[in-house]
Amino acid sequence: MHSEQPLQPEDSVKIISDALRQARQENTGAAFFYILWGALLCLHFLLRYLRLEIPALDNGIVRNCIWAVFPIGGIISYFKNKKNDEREQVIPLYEKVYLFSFGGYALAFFILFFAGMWQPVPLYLICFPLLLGLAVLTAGGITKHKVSIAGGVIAILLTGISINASLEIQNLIAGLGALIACVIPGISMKIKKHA
Amino acid sequence: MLKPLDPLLHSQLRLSIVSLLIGLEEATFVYLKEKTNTTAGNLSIQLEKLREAGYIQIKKGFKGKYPVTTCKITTNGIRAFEEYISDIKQYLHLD
Repeated sequence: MHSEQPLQPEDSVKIISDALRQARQENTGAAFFYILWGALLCLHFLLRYLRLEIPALDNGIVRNCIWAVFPIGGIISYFKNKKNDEREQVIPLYEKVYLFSFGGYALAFFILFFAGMWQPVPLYLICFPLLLGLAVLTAGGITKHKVSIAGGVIAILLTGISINASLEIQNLIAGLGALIACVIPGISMKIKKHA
Repeated sequence: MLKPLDPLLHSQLRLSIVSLLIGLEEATFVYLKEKTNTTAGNLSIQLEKLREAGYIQIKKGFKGKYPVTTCKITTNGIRAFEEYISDIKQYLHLD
């Protein structure tokens, strides 16, 4: 228990460094959302790829499944957030980093999606790994998470291949981008948390 | 000549509280009590002193049916903490 004894400057340094270390260890809960959205986006693009590659799969069920991932992700995220809010005792500083980097990503993606609807080239599909990679790289750089930094860079590099690829391969690259930039860093965060 | 250290921060418990809050967006009373390993009464007194000095903000609300007290560091608090760090460095001849 803390007492009101006179402090030495050396004691102050120890108190500050201990407290900062404790604060830094607070979990943002980002791992869950990285894995969830990474897996759902990966599934979304994989189904789109399979639909284009295998004509037999181009039916109503597959088409519905492709878009069903978004409301499913939204519902799961809503309940997870609600559960987190009930338990939450602390809000880590990094929480806002994720909020702004992924908020910016989502905004940019939807602008490309809707504004590019009349374009012959699916801009949103080409830019998906680029935007996701940027968001993951930024968040990873600030939170000093090396796997996110690497995942973000690889996803950005995938855009270079996507630009000149066929529509089928662009879908496959987008799915791969989600796997590398979200699922793998998310799993790494989870492992680190339990270590 | 060494500058005297901020008496408000130069206390074990208050320094712990401010150092925790500087690394967080905000924290509840329960969290601070657990991390500083102190009694609720003592923590309340120290938080009130920091609030009076304008170093922290205390918000009282409800989470479901339960009351929750949340603390957040202010700009004044951040400035005071930075100044304290710089003074400590001088004491330790780190500058």
